[in-house]
Amino acid sequence: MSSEHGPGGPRPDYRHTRRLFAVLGGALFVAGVARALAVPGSFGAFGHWRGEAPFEARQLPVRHQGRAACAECHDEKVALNQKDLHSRVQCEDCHGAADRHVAAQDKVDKDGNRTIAVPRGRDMCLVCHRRLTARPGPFPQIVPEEHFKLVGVRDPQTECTQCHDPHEPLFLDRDIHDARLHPLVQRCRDCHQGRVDEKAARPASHPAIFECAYCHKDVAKSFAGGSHKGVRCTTCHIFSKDTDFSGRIIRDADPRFCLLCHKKAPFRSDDAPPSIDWAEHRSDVGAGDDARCVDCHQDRIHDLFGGKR
Amino acid sequence: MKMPVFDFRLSAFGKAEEPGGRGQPTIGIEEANGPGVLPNVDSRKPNAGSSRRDILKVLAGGTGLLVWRVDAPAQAADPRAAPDYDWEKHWWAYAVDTNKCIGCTACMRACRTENDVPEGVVRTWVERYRIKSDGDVVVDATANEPDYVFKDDGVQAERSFFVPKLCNHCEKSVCNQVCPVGAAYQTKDGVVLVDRKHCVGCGYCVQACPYGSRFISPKLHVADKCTFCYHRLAKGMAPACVQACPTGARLFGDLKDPHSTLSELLRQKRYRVLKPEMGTHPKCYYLGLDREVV
Repeated sequence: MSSEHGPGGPRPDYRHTRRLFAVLGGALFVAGVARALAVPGSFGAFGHWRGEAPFEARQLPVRHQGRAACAECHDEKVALNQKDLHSRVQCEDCHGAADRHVAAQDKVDKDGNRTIAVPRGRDMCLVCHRRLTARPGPFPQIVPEEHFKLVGVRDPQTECTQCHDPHEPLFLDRDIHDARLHPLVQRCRDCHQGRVDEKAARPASHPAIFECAYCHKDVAKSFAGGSHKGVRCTTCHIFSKDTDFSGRIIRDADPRFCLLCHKKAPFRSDDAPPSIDWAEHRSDVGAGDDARCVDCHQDRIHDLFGGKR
Repeated sequence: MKMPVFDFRLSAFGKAEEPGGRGQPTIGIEEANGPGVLPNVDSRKPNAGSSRRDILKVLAGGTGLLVWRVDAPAQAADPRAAPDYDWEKHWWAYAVDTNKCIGCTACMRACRTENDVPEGVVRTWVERYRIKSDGDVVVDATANEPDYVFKDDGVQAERSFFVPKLCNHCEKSVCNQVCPVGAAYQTKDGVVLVDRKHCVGCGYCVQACPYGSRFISPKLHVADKCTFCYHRLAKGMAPACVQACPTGARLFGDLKDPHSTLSELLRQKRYRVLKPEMGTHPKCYYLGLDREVV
């Protein structure tokens, strides 16, 4: 090797090295251009992603408008809805997203398409109120056939809305938080008197789950022997649990509440349960305008009604 | 010619980004590369103008180029970004009170409408757990059909409950780590999103998510998932599912605000997250979660 390229031999040839660097440099340039074209401009502005992306995501249209938007026109309906147990149910849960309705300010848009849904039939109600395994116990739920039997409905196609107004389902004409605070029995001293050790272990014979009858056993006993025996306590005494330790009990003596079951209607049998026309019945018995069913029919409910609390 | 500065932080292993760690571009890099090397071109289509040959040339240029740092020069503040909504001031999180869920699927219907979710896929769903007396667990979930309702099929359960599920918007999300093109990301207010324009629909994130929250949209052909209704947050509205829930089983709030409903709830209540062993730090907190729930 050294003899070939000695002092008198040919000059060292670096062409191959230059070629290599030229190829590398060219590749580098092409890569830089390709990369500049491929990577979006805002990429990396906030992290390893396109900086404009979240701002684009914010531009998507809002479809559900919320109850406040409904109240701008339907304030009476919303105010009515706010008084009862459906107060937490958004208008749009049943009527569908209101964006098109708000934009059109009408039931139909320019092209004559409906902008808002008005659900008919039982399906929408039963989505929440059909009795179902895993549905929490205190939540009102029915098997339609059983419910119809209880309230004497003959026509199986009867819709819920023929008795229940979905905007005002239980006629609670008062703020739910004005209702009487009922201590859900969680502490020993809620039942036991005198000096009570709250940390004592629960005896094996002591019931673990508390039911109304554990404390109100006289009431429960007289009720179970009466004509309303198929009805649960919480059907009339709506129990709304606010926290883990207390609840609010609502006793509703509004005649309309009784009439949910006892109102004369074409789809209902007259005898079970007895059905009346409220105005007619009131004039028959000479009761005033503010008369309540329980003023006369206390005995049909249970012993302690209107008695000691 | 100045040599390019190599940044080995951006390795082929897709190391997780520290929040805000790469937020500000390094001045030195900008100078080294020069304006001609990284022109500020907004190319909407990924790989616009680059052919397979270009890519091969890039590869031929050496593996060093593959780890060349990709930080672009700082962007001018986006006019749409700030004035009314500052994403530095929020850290959104979600809570589910499983005691309250009645399985009505109002949330699913609201989500489908709000986000135009196509049939056959769901961004949020409800599972029903029924535990029989012999310990067997029967789980049925709302199928991907729009009007699904739960039905009783004669299973006698000792205890039973509903569990709503959705994207957990993990603080250390796996989907973001595996995305090969940087189309999965977490915003500064803590929401994990998909860049629809940049996603190539490879489905790697769908496989990576331990919660099954992602899917390839049959309509857009890119990855899709729950966004916490990001378009509503900036306007001061709760996600559609939270608004729709009639029993208050779904809750949403800002963890940077110590007085938000959610912050107070998480201080006062006992809660769990799903699959904590995955180390993803989910931001969806479950109250009253049963041990059988996975």
